[in-house]
Amino acid sequence: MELFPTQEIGSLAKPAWLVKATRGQKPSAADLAEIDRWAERLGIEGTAELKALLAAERPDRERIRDWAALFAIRLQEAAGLDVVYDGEARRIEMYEYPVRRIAGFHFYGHVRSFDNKYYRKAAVVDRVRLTEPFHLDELRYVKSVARRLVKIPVSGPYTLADWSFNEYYLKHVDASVRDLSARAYEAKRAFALDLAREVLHPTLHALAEAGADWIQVDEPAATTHPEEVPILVEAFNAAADGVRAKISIHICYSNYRALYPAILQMRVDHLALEFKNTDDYDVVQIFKEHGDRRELGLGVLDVHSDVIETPEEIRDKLLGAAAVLGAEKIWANPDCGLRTRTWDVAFAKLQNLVLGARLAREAVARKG
Amino acid sequence: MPFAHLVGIFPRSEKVVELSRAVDRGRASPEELAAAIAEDERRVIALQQEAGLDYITDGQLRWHDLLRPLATGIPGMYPGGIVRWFDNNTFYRHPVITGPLEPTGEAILRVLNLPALAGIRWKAIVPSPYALVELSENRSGRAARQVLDDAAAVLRAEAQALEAAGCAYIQFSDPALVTLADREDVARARDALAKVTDGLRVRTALHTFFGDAGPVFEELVKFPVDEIGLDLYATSLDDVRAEAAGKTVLVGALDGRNSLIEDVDTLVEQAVRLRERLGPADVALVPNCDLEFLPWDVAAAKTRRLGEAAQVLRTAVA
Repeated sequence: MELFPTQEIGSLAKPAWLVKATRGQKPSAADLAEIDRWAERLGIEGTAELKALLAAERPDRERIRDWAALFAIRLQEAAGLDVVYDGEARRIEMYEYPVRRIAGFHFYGHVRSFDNKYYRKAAVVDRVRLTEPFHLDELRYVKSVARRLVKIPVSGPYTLADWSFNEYYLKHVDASVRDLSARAYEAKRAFALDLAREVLHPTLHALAEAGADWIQVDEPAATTHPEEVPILVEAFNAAADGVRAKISIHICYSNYRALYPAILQMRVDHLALEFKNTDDYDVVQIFKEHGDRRELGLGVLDVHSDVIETPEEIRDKLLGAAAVLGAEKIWANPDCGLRTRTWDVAFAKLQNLVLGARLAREAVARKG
Repeated sequence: MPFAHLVGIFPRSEKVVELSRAVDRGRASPEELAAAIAEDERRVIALQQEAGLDYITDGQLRWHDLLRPLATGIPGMYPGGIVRWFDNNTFYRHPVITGPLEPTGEAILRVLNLPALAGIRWKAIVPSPYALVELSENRSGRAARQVLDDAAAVLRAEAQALEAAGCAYIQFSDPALVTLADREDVARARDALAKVTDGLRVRTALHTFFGDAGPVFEELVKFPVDEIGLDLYATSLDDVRAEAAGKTVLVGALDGRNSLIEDVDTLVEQAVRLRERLGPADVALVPNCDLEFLPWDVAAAKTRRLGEAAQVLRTAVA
């Protein structure tokens, strides 16, 4: 692969026709026009089948999701990315989708995210157990149609634990531990490790056996509690143990300094991080300070802004990181999934990501 | 005699959650939502009374976050972008300070259900001046010291208005003091709070949460309030080296961030340990933080459990 390879990180916005089909609604004329517009732009043929599926009295939702995945894959390929996936077209989001497939959880009700926005948070009420392998069908589909290297994102054990209430494992902490803060820490560790061993480990192995060349473990909660970074690392290593695939971790909106030195013990090939949001690219220095020689996915696209980063700006960020760590270690990516942007904005950003990486390559080549 | 009460925002009910979404989608009116919230405020008040809590809140159900009534109600600031609320998967709008802050004494009263609290011994919960400033963005061009003075003046006007409205207890919430502050900040925070509480006749408390109060406890007991609150899920009692110096201590042993309903014995044990270790004038059993991180039914069950534990603790102490 050439210098400064480009990758997507995760989710794309779900097309209106997919959302409506999921809710049992019919697409509008505008939705159908969007299908035509993007099909033409991305070179997708045979959309009459999709329209027929959407119009059916009892639509085949799995086939409709296949189509949504195909559009997302082709969008990334058309932008020129080296590594693609399906924009998480089949997943509600990164928490509830896996938790619904793990025994031991119970949903009580909604909790507030902010203002009048709420989400459903589960409690672990019994020891966690994998009820059905997940992501396998979507991986098989992506592998069957993708024309580029495929990377599958999977929610990580620490984040799943951190975003859940912890009942079962707190009840089972050794009674001799009387301090409430110490009990909470022990319970968190036991929960994250069980998720890693009982759920993520078999899932990652199954994905590798199904042909996953590269698995990205998403851990956005990695540094939420800096004192728990050792749990993050221990759980990650337990989940990834013996998996025969390239393994990366994606972390965003976090204090990366809090990861060190514990993350040096993480058996991971690649760290894909958000930088553009804060514009604090000096953080790259901590890799050097700690002698971290692993690949770095450099976030150069702000996923919360419609401003399209220029290729020159992207080139400069990549070259800046390359000057510190070496060009062969640097990948280019958005800060996070682009699901909050329209496809037009996401596509324009990704196109410039590819152009910026090309400019960076050319600059390195000129230097010899 | 040990007592018990809530220390923060109560969660919204499933009905209010659904109505909020319906309002967003144009399927229900803001008036229907306001009526449902008012009804829930009465339910939260009744819940606390039935649980035997000593000071009652209206659940702060109209508050989107601890700082919002001030961010929207005080001239010189406005609610800005979404920022993570400490180490939670929850966010707040961080206030943006654009000029001198103008005390009004109306911002908190505007979001309280005073008719529902009439005739009840009720408490108000507001940010400390330090927390208000530390969790805001200062774009006013004024020095940090001036902004802190402004915030103290704002909160003093609010506290006086609350006292005049019949409030029996004002809690100043300050998660920043135990998560972000250095020693110099602690002294500034104390001086600012002194400007607020000077001359108040109501009972006052400074409640800290989300962070380890152990390293600063010796300083916290010098704050000009009657009571100091600790989050025992972030503070190890074994590491608190100072004594309570005549203060009452709020024992934050009921976890507002986990759905497991604590045993009465666990709650009582923590209060007893704290009494033995810190020698406070008295203790109050409280949640470590707001209960808004829980679904409504779980928060209600925890509130009842808090009352049960306080009753057992009172008997044990007696």
